[in-house]
Amino acid sequence: MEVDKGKGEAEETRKVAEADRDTVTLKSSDGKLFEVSKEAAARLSTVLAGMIAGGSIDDNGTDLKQIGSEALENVVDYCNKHANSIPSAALISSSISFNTAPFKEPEEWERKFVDRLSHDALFDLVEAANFLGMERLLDVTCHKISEMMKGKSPDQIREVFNIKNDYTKEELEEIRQELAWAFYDD
Amino acid sequence: MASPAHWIAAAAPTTLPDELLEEIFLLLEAPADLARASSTCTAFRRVVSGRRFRSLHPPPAADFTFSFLPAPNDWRVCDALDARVLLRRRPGDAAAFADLVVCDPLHRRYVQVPPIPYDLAVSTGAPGMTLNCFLDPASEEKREDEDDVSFGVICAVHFQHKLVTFRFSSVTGKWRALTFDRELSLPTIHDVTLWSGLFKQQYVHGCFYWRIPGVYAIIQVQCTREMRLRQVEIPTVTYRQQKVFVEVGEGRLGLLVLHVGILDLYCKTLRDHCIGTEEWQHDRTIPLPKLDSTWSWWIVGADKRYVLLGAILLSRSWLQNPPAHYFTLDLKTFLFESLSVSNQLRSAYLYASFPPSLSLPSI
Repeated sequence: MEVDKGKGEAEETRKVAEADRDTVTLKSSDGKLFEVSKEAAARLSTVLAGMIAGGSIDDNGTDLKQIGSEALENVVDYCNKHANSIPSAALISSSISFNTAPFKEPEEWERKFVDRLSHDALFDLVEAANFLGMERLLDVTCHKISEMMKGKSPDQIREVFNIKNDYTKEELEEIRQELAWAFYDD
Repeated sequence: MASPAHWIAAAAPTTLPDELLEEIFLLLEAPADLARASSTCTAFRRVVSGRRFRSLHPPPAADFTFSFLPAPNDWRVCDALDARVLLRRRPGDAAAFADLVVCDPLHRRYVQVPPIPYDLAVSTGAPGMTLNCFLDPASEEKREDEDDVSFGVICAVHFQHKLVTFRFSSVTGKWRALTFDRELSLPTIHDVTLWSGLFKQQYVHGCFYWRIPGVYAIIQVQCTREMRLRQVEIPTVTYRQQKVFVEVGEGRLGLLVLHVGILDLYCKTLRDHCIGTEEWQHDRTIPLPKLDSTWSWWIVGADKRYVLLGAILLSRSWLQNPPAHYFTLDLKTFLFESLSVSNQLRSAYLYASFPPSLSLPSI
């Protein structure tokens, strides 16, 4: 009985401590644990903000079964970097003159952040950002992928993204004729 | 860039859900990039041609970013006429002969105009500077049916003290020198960039008009039957004012001059395309539309029917891209119509009588 009581008290103490903690623990599909600042998680992810507000954050690590450890590490890394970055003057001024624009150019550190990722990691991160409702990270990763497509021929895009050309010969010929203006002499 | 071995291992983006592919494709602003991406696989095409994507990313009626040209940012618009736009390669601005393309922004096609052959240039004098290139309106007027896609390009070149003009025909694929009934002497050029800015052709009643910088006169260039060059004096009150030549009624040449708050129209009668010796007549004064603050007006351009004018708000800092308000003046009714308000001050160009989006390709 004594032991049980002690355990209950410990549980109680830990719960109080959890409420006061300024980090949350997230668990990847392969069981790895990551800590992230509660403030950054709530600010950058609508899904995590909802879980924190609704008290559904698990002290032993909130299960994110859809996200692998590499992607989750990048998500946490992004949140930490974001918390440390001071918005640049360029971002402030552009938000004044183009406050209706849906997309703001990535900042220097955000570019560097996505540039170092492998293609696998980038695509996993897009999906993770989408799942967690991280609008800014989604913008930055989608922007990176779109940049990788710009100015490339269909063959180059297929090669870079490992896409299988599943058009029939006839369909391809039809498309080439319809979109002849878009093809350089490749 | 990752190694090919890595690409094989890469997660194919086709596994991304459609909503994420939409997000990515929305960031491909250039229509050509979007078209090429959509032709890589059926999944991409399905997303791009889907109704939802189309509602977020409507296809542009015409591509005035010229994304279909090689190195699209290297080109500068020289002239626009009906369905065609003539562009000149930017680094070539200081070169003797400009690198030119004629394109159809609606159908996203272009043809390269070959350079003026060296021996032709030499036969007319020493190599000079290209002052003004434009699409020949006369060849547009002669066109009989819709399938005729021929065009002409005229290039004015300054050879030391002489003005030499060449014409390219898309029918023959060749340049030839235009020989006029007299030679025109020009002052020595010190600053070619200034000259080429002022030396902008206008086409009125079958003749071109050029203004000669530093000389208060215009050159009338008649390419129709006889090849004639005439220097024409302009009224002294119009010196140093912004002005534009316009067609006003049958056989009359109009000179529209911008003053503070008003436009003054001066006219001269043309007889068989020739300018008579009588004085310019002041035809009318047209008050500009009233704008509440300090707006500064400029004349953007004119075609047969309309004059395009712009006004910018001067009270704001230039750095902030002041709003520009565009108006058209109808030359038949002399009424103004408000066209648009834009922050894109630099890029205004008059594209009159642009064809509807279902018309046939023009090149």
